[in-house]
Amino acid sequence: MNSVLEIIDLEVHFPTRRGPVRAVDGVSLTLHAGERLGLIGESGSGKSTIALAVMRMIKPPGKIVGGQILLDGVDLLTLSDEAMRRTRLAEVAMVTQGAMNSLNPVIKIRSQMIDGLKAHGVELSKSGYEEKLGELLTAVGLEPGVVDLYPHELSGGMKQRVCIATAISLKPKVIIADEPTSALDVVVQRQVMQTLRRVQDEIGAAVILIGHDMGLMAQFAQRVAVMRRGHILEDSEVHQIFANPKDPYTRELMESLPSFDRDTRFMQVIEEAAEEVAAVAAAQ
Amino acid sequence: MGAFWKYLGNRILIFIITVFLAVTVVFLVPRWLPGDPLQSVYSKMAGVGGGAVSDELIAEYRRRFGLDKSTFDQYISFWRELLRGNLGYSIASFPTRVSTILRQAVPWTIGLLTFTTLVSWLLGSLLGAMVGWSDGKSKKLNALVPIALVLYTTPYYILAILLVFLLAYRWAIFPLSGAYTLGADKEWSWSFAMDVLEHAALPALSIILVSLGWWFLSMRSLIISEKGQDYILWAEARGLPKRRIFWSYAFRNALLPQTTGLALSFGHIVGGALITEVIFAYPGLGYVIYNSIQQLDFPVIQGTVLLLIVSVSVANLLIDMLYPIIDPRIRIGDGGN
Ligand SMILES: Nc1ncnc2c1ncn2[C@@H]1O[C@H](COP(=O)(O)OP(=O)(O)O)[C@@H](O)[C@H]1O
Ligand SMILES: [Mg+2]
Repeated sequence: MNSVLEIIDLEVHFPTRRGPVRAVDGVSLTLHAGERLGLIGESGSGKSTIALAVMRMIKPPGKIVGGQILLDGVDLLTLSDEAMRRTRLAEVAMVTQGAMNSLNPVIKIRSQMIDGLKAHGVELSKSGYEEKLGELLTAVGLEPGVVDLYPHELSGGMKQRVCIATAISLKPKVIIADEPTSALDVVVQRQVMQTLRRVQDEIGAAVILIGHDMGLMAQFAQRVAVMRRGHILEDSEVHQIFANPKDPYTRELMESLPSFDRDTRFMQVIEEAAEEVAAVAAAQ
Repeated sequence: MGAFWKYLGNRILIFIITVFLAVTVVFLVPRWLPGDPLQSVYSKMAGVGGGAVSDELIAEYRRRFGLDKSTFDQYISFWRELLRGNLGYSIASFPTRVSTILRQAVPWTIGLLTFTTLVSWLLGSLLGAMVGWSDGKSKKLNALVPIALVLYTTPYYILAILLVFLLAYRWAIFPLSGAYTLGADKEWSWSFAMDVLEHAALPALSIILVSLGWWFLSMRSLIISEKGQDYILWAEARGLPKRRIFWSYAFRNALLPQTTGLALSFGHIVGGALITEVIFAYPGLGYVIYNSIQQLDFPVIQGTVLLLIVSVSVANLLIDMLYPIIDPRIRIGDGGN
């Protein structure tokens, strides 16, 4: 398998009065084409900072002070601002953490989705856009008529689906989903994750799923990286992480889960995940 | 559809109640005050005539102003005359009608304040948005912040006095006061227009400078808070050009509260820029209010206050009707599902 995204020794600092906060401190991660990688860790461990660094959207005074981010061998950190802008969405798409408020409240869904296409030179006729948006929305299980609505007319799950539909609109190689379901209730969480899973499969994108719900992680990811204080502690196959965590912190993380989860739902979850992996492998 | 009409009906009802209460209060207040509102007239006549004013004359005056009837009858006829557009007579410059005084003052105020409000709003909003968006990255733009703070905190009459002193007195570039050269022919001519503009320049400048500071600071902080919104982050993540994010996302959204502010200040326009008009002896409504209060000219005070309340209410009603159009979140009716 060839790697599509390679993060090498990434270093992101936020200067403060008491010296720089090393939000991401020498992180290396490899993402293979079409792979689903889970990135977990306590809040403040640097997960979102990695995501924003890959998008090159770290806000000053934060700064990427070292490392490389290779997308298909090209270091994103060396691109011009304009080239980086064109890379966003087209090559690397992000579904952001605050997805409930990701949509501009005063603009219709249609024009927000078209904005993304136009920003990358996709010029279609009126009916061409209509058709394209219809396809995208259908792919995430929404009615094409949603384009005529304003964000406040959608439920949380629907908004998140709109974000996913937009993320796949230019068939990116990598999708980064930063806690895409953290604001949703459990049933909707599952549905949205299944949607993400399905479209990921369809367009063959690799996905980094950031989150802290082990259950969802185990179902979705093939590989899981565990973060703490800007470092990656462990990076293993999903079975490995659950069955036999190497790092003491990972073990602690597993043990902190409610016991009924560990004993019952988790075994079930792992089995389901194993079946899914096997099924996908068989299909390829 | 039904919900929209219900909403509209509601707003119109509130408007009517406001105006009704305003008229009632405006009617009652001078009558609650101790003393005879015509007292100043009697003393003036006494001064001129050199003796006591005859009871017949006083009775005639009271009859003319309707003060001989019961309060309730007066209230009814106040309304009746109001609906006919008759606001009664000025006491101080009897027998000039209040409506004549207002009609002469309104165009000056509206002209001066519509222009200055629009210019300062546009300029302040644009500059504020640019500075908020660049957020300290441009040193030159950032220098505008302390300037705006100083302008905003400067009392506008001090700025007006300063401008008069420097630009009309020290260097006589602009006329000292008035809205036109006294004795000039009031006609649609090039020279009269220039004369009016010259006279309006200083009052306009003093109003623009001061309100510019406010619009600037308000827009700047609106844009800064827009920048922290999730939808701005997501717009950037979709690779939208900076320019597009600024205009269609940050600026457009910040414009909503800023526009409410504009509409509200339009409502206040007829109040005139009171002290500015007094300092420049500019014959607008502010000047009329000032004079009428000084002379305890109740009918004129009543007329201007009514005009003020009605126009603020109309502005509010218009905002309520326009807001659903510019902000879909407040759109009422069958929008959803
Ligand atoms: N704007 C900022 N200023 C200062 N420190 C920041 C800023 N953003 C993030 N950090 C630091 O980076 C660390 C990682 O943050 P983040 O990547 O958001 O964590 P996570 O997504 O894992 O919860 C935090 O502990 C915080 O101290
Ligand atoms: Mg985060």
